[in-house]
Amino acid sequence: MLAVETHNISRTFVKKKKVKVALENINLKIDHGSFYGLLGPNGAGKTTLIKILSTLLLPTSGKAEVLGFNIADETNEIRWRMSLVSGGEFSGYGLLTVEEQLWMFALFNGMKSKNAKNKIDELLEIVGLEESRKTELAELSTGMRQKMNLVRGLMTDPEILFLDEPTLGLDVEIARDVRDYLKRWIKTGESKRTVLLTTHYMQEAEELCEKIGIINDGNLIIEGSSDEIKKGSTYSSKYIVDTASQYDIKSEYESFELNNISNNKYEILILNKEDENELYNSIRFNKKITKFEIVTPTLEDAFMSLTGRELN
Amino acid sequence: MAIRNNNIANGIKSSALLGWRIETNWANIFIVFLVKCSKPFSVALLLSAMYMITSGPEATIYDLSWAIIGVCLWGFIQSATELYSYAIVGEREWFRNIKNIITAPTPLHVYLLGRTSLWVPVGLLNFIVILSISNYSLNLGLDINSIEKVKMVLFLLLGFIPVVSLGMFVAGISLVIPRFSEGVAFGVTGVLYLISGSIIKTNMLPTILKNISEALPFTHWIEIIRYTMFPYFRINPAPYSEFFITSIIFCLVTNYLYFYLLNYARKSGKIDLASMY
Amino acid sequence: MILSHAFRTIIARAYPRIIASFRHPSWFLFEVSLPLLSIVTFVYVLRLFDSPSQFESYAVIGGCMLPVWFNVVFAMALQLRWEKDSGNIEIFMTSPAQITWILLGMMVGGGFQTILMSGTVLFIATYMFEIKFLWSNWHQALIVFIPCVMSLYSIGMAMSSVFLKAGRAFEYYLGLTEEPVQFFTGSYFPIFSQNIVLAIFGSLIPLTLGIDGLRQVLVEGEYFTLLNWRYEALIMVIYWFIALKFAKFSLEWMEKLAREKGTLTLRWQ
Repeated sequence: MLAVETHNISRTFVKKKKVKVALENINLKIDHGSFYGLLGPNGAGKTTLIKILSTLLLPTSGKAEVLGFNIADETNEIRWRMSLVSGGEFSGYGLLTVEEQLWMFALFNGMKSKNAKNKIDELLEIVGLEESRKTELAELSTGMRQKMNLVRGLMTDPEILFLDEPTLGLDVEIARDVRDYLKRWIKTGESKRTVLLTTHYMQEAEELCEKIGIINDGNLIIEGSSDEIKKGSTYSSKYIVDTASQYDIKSEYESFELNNISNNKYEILILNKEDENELYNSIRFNKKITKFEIVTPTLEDAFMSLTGRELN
Repeated sequence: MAIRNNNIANGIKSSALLGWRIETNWANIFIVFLVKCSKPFSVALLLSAMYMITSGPEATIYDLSWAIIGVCLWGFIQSATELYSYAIVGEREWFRNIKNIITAPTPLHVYLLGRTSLWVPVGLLNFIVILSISNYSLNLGLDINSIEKVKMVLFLLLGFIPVVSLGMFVAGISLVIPRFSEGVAFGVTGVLYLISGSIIKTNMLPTILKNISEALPFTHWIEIIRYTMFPYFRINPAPYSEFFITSIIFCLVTNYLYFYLLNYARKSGKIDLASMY
Repeated sequence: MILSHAFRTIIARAYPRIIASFRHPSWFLFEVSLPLLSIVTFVYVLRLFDSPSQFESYAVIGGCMLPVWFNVVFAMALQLRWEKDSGNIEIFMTSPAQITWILLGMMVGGGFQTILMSGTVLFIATYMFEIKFLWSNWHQALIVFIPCVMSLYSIGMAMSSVFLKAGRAFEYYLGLTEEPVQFFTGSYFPIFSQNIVLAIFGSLIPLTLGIDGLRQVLVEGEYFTLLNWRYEALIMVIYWFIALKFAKFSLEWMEKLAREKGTLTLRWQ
């Protein structure tokens, strides 16, 4: 079964005669039980797509189904089965404590009070917010707030979890905790769980997602696993070399693409896989090269090759 | 030092432009001023209706004139306190920008001075429109030739100084009160409405309120303007010295309180504490 | 199951408002002192105009009821705006709870605060101006008061959907209605005795009927009115249900429109 299926989804925004095309003919298929990542720079259309799938927005054209339900007509069926957590969220009421906040949103989602309280106890313990349960929201740090938001999203045990840049603004440790928890969460549970994550952090996408879609300027450029996407990079691998001073490396390797990184440090890109052995042998025995390192393309490299821009 | 002076001038200019844009960007300028001027105008209408419906045999048209001038001037106070309070509330609760303003080199009071400057044209418009329409429709007895124009303009402008100080004080309170800072403007305006002699004669108030009223510069300010506008009210001398003395004391006290409250807000972490429910 | 979900949603949303009453008790000071100030001001204005003394009783009742209008209507209508700016509305809309239930919860929570506040203001103003009300008619007063408050809240719910469409400008237009409401509802003087056209127009706002009904049952002496308080209470009950129905319809329609245009989730629109 597919968790998400879209057919030529497009979305335009019109304000004072200015038309902004946020999404254009997006065709997406996400298997139920998978962790799917949507990668793209700011303004690519990731949040717009998530808002359409989470029933906050209607598409201008096209169709979409979430867990087999139409997003336009069967909105409530989807809402019973989904959760949305956004990064940088300041939702809630400052005077309520963490547990009161979570209890309130759990009741909105149809949970019984007693079940909600049990779930709160369980999840607060897991994410490390147990000590802050009686803290008012206004006094929480950004990281703790985001953890609380994540708990809110998980309270109802959704079949599909939409995460819109959930680690935005979080410090390294808390971001890691969030990612670790998500990895465990998707594997446990009585029924299948799907996560659709939008992010512009490459490492996060690589670490969490089985499948990644790259979106840019409202278009879905490529989909696949991390390794498949990396093949889209212009180079198959590269060498980072340190050279002896006053060594003219360019004249010796002029047939390769060479970039000067810093003083006596260069990167040599291998555009064709067939050249790898030749270059390796040459570098290995070159006494003017004091140190070298082989680097395989990252997602960011692939992204730049595919879109011509950096992921900022 | 040159940079500081530049910051103050630039600060006032850019905050005035910002204030203008924020207060006027939601509709065309005519509608904006209509809404801004509506409250005092509506109060004047309400008073006029009350006078016509409820007045007893001892009431005269000069009672209504007396009250309407008070409403016109109260319009300045209401507009200023509202803008000062909303500047703080808006930046903290809606735009979430207050920490950027506080940490900018331009002092907050300079920013507020520019940001809230719209109260002056709004107040002036109220003053002119309400008086003109009321005089025409209700025959209040106002004669342009009998107005002591120079004195009126001079004291009108001098009265702006305690109004600005009041605004600063209201802004200070707004910084330290979560959630109900929006009510501060209403509270202050309401209290002043009652005890500044704007629509209620101070001799009708209980003694303690009467004494507080006499200590406020606004009470004497409004009396002076009435004195300059209507010969009918020139029975007693105008309270010029009372106005100057109370203004100086009032401005010193309110400005001190403003800085104290700002400091308190910093120490207690309330500056960017958004709290609505 | 729908009923139990609705009930849970209402309780959950009422909770922050009720708990705020105890956690931030300073609200009480403001919510009581501001209406009290207005009442005191207008009573003195009546004295300035040498008005008959029973007008002071009328002004006290009107002054206690006016804040109900402002709290309910403004708080209900503007609350959704704040919910939008803080991102809560996204969470409401993505939950299976209907937005109507959430507003009903605000109504219940706000109603608790309103009744507490109005009662306190009435008590203090009565004491201050030594007014003798017919307290033996308290049950009749409740029959008028409760439908009045509920119908006003329902109007607030209906207006909240207009806000979703209109955005920030609506807040200013709402502010324009403050004094006209004071006039047409006869808050500080009896409107029904003046002009039948004005009276009928004023009766479109349930507050007018509520104030008039309370004056009939609580104020001693002769009081001219066009409608008996029982009929006024009945009309307000009808208003209540009509407004609720309209609120549900308009909220659903507005949500659909907001999803189409994208204004629901855009802040500062």
